[in-house]
Amino acid sequence: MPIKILMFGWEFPPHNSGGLGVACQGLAGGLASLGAKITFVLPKKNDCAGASCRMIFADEWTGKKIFPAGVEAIAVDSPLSPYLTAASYQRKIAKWGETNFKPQFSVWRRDLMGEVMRYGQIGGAIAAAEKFDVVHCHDWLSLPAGLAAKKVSKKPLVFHVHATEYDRVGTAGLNREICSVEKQGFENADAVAAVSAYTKRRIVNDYGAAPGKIVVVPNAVNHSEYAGPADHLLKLKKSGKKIVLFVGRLTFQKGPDYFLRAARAVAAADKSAMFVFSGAGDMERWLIEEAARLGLADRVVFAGFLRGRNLAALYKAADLYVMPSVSEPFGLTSLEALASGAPILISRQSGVGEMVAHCLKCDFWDTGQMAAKMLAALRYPEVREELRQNGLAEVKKFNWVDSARKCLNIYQSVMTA
Amino acid sequence: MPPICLYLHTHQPQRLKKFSVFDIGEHRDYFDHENNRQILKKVARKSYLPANRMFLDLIRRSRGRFKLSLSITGVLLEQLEAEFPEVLRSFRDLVDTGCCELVSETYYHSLASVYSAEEFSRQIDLQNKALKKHFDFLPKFFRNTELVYNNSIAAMVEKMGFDGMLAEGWDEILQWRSPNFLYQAKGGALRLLARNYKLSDDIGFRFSNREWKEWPLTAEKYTEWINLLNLDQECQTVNLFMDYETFGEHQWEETGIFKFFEAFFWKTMENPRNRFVLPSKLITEIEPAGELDFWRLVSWADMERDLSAWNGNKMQHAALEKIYALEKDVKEAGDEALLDEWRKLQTSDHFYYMCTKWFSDGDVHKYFNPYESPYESFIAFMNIYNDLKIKVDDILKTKVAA
Repeated sequence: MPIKILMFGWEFPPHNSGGLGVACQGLAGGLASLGAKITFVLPKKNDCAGASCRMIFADEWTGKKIFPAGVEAIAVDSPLSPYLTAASYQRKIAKWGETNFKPQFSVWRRDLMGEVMRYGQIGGAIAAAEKFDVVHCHDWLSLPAGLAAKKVSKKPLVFHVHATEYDRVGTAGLNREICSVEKQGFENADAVAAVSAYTKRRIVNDYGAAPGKIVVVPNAVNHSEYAGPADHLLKLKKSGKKIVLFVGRLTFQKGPDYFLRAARAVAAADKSAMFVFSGAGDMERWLIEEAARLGLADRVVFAGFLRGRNLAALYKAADLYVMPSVSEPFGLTSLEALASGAPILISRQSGVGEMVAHCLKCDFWDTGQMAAKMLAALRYPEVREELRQNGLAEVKKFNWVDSARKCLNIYQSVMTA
Repeated sequence: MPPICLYLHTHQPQRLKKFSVFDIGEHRDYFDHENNRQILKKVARKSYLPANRMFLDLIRRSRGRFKLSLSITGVLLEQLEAEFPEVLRSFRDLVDTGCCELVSETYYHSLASVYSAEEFSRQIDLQNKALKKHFDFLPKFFRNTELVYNNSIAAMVEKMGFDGMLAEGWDEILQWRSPNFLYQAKGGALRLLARNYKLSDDIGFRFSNREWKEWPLTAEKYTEWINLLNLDQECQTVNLFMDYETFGEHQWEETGIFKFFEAFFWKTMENPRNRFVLPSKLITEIEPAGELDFWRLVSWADMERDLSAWNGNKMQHAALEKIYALEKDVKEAGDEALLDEWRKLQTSDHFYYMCTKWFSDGDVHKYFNPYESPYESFIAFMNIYNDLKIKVDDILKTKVAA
């Protein structure tokens, strides 16, 4: 009998705003290839054709619904995005109210926490109607759903942590309510999967969770997606420009401001250096204005949020990929860059930094060091070439089947406990 | 039992600072003196001092039957003289017994033998001068950095007046021959001692490895292995060549390395015919069994026994190329301090730190690396190189102007 997993998430490519959806897709694919049957619940309906699992969109959920070709889905309609803060949720919900905000269930709460709780209630209802062996939920927004499913079904719950509130906003901006939801997860889940040893330490230190039930399940990368040709920015490169790339949400956690500060020093020392930001986020406008204020308007390019082939080609065009995150539980973009053959410079405050050897590292706050290493990488082609070659070889050790196998081991242990 | 020829190589590099791109042109000091002092202090306490004490004690108690040969690089002698004179004195005490032969090498522990013949011979001169100064010793034997050896290096060494040289007893070169005989260099009279890598590495590498099926190594067992060498034919020598730091640093005292070695020595002394020999003495007693053709460069490092740990990747290649390409200009500039800095940048350790072989497996290469990664070490090295180049160019410019 193949194992049946009821999985709760909140985003799935191509409708993702960050690495979480990519990780969920990769992990589900890995599990499916090992013979596991996954029913993946999303809050909101979207087109996930080609997914390797059955999808349920909670917003449409009225009972059982079978999708063609083994792909089935369930979703809940809500403006949930994994990266919303309570404040930005308020802004978003105001906007939804004017346009397509159509509540389907009895009561819409006007705040993010209420929304999460509502997803949780539907999660319990879905669990009552579905047959499965284990519940697996991703990050705090789907945790109440996971907890409800566990309660209704008496099946074990695995809480998969891709980021904590401490990672997202730092100590100063902490939302206590979110922390307490996370804490409930650490206390009540039968096992916790952490994307890195870095994250495991954070969970133990910041939340006082028991280290014994936390297992590290590293993220991976779908190598074939990054094997395409390098056909972007060819003219720019031909003219002798060197490209330093940032990919990620333009928000506090990802450190784009530190990147910009380092870029200023590099730009002054190396006339050939260009800086490309790919991503969107709450700091975008500030970054554009700041770049102009620093006199870097002609050296910094804002490419917007890219995905798929465009993103892969951008990685390939990069002479150096930089991930300056303030706190990065894993850092999927680093693997994507490596798989594309880009040399990487990454923040020491990252999970991936503890797993990858063939990279340059710096502290996110030390923009002097960051600039020095960017400049050195641009200056010495041998460093780039060795990083590229060895990085390409090393990144092969990350694959979703291995990560999925680690999850299967967790399921086995909680099911027999 | 064949005579035992024990040779220990003693070296500590002058490690470089984490020199940033933004430091280029600022002409800051290149060497991390504080770190170097700390490391040397630790190695002296754990290895040099207690091992020298043990060796001296063995020489005295055996009335000179214990003998060992040593090399000590010039860059280490410099550091000892400046900061740890008591350690230098303990080496001198050993040499003064007459039971310790000093073997020459390149002062800067460099790979000059491969990149610049002129530099190679110059650095050997400097080393011989240092041995004269500190030990009043004139060396007759030579060992090249990391035992790097081939036929043409042997020819250069012979031309410099040495009687013999140490080399790796590597199967690919020896083929059917045994390392336990005296050889001579191809086409020359230079005597060659080939390292018995199996018996050397049993102590140097495997001694404390609990995964090793022979662990724990006892004096009885090890003596028996050496005796077994004479089973088929009477061997001329068993050449145990290893890093000095094997005693107390690579193998900590807690592993029992000191006790083992003492027990091993006294065990061999039970038979009055057994003996330890010095290289220069050995070659006066026996004739070479034949020539060895080292048609390629062979070192004592890694499974490849080649230079790939120092010049195997593009970074190492570029760094070596750049530093030796500066030779003409540095010499033309004629500034002694500059010349010394340039030579210290040739120390092979700097290139070893840039090695990417098995870097992700966290092996022995990583253990000795003061840098976070091979990439960081290359960047620091190249930044320093570029700073040095500016200094050299500036001097040459003023010379032309004047």
